[in-house]
Amino acid sequence: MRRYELIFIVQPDLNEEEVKALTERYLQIITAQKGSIIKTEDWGKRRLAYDINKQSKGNYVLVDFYGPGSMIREIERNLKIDDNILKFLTVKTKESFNPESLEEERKKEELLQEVQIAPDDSEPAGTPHLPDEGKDSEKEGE
Amino acid sequence: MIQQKRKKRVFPRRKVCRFCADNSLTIDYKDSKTLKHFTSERGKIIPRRISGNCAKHQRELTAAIKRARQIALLPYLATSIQH
Repeated sequence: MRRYELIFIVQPDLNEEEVKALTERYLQIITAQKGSIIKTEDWGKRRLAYDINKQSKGNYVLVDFYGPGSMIREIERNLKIDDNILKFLTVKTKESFNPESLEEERKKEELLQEVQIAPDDSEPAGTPHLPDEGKDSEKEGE
Repeated sequence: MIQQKRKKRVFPRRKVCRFCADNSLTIDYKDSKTLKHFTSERGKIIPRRISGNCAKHQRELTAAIKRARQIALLPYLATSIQH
């Protein structure tokens, strides 16, 4: 199993629901190819750094998923055909991914959040400044 | 003459790699705001000798900037200064 990140830019003239429906379609393609989705993020409409197909804006969607490497070809083939997709980018984030490590990651994130929240009530007067605390919690999370 | 003048110019302090100095800073191609600090107004990648990055992080950085360009988060070239 490999972990991937897929970003695609959807035509700006589609409304939110249409973007959602489109995303759903691609999620289905991923699952049909024996991949699993970790999370999706909708970045909304953003200005593009340069025009793509004469469009200066686009809806960004990010999908974090894992699965066998062979599925990428099928996903990208579908993205290429779709006229509503301005551009896409798939990035491999992990060569060998173990789904069980997801649980650990979640726990770590929770821990991190707790640590970040905790100092507020247990903080005696005159303790280190905020940036230091940020660093400390990062280290604990690793 | 011009070359001599340039040679005489002394830079006061040695810059440290920002990513080495601060562990919480990460290089991510999706984080266009951070990456933007390491590009010129024209959108070019700032060389190591100016930004002061270490080789390892500069490598990661250039890869991230190039990725960001592919997905239109950063410009390949900026003709006029945006924002």
